[in-house]
Amino acid sequence: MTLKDIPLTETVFYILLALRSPKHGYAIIQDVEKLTQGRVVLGPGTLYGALKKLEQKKWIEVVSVDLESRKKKEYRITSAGRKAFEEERARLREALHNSELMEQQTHD
Amino acid sequence: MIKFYFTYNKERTAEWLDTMSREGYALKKAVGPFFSFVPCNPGEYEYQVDYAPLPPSAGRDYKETMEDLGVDVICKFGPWVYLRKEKDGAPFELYTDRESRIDHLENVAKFFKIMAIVEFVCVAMLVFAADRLNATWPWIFVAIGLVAAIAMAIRSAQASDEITSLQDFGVISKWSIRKRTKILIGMGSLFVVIKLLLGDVAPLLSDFFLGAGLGLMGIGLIFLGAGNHARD
Repeated sequence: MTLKDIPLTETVFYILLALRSPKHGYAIIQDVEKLTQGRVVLGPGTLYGALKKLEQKKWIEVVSVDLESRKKKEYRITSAGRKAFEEERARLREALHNSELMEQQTHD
Repeated sequence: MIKFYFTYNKERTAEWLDTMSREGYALKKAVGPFFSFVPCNPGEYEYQVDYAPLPPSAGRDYKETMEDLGVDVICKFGPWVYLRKEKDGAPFELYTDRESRIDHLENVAKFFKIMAIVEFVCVAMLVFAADRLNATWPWIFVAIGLVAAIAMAIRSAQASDEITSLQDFGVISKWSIRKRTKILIGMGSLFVVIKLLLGDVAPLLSDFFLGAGLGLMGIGLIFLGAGNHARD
């Protein structure tokens, strides 16, 4: 893991989360859209680019493709991907916790 | 049906293809500025043009992913990939987050910058050839080439400015890259025109204007890359 991996972009964060179970491209978009109540809708170019990069980083992997049945290519998160996700989660937790300081300030 | 449409702006091409679809014509193939169409139900498709220079990025994997998302890869010409989606009410946008939009614009800016420089070098060589030939017709090619080089340089600068506006706290300064490019190239063109007007009347002076004009244009093109792409 390198320094610039964290923080994750929102797109990467949600793709990793969606791939907690194997999914093909369209299912990823649907899952992310559902999780964010329609706030994050991934465009085809954005999704394709992110999947390529994550595959190169080995944060996600292709679940064996059955060429004969013309089944859609499915991806799932790897252990390295989970590690990055957990690190981001810890960062977000800290940020959320610290953000509560703002309340104290305004109540003074 | 074959139609001619020319622009360096692929967003505009996509808008034009949308209009054609509304009129009942679906794109079949694109070869440079020539587009062939087949009839379709009016408004059946929406279009986007992607930039994917090398085969791997627009290869089987790309096609598979796009098809999975309900996007048809119609054809490819040069680095441009023509995509369509059946109109379903949801907006058809290829790049939806800042990071991927910046990546994409960087590729587009780089492409037009390289093309502009190549074109410019060709024009510069043509100028010297035309100067020696002592005929009018080579200058027509010079003019066409120059217009193309300038248009591509400005397109690249536009993309660079768009990147700046997308970057953290991005503010386009008064002296945007596009503006700088336009000024330098404009001055360069002016010098070349002066050279042409002077012609044989004052050979030394006209050579000076030619050299200075080409130099300014060259600097304008090189400065394109000196934009604030400081990332990573």
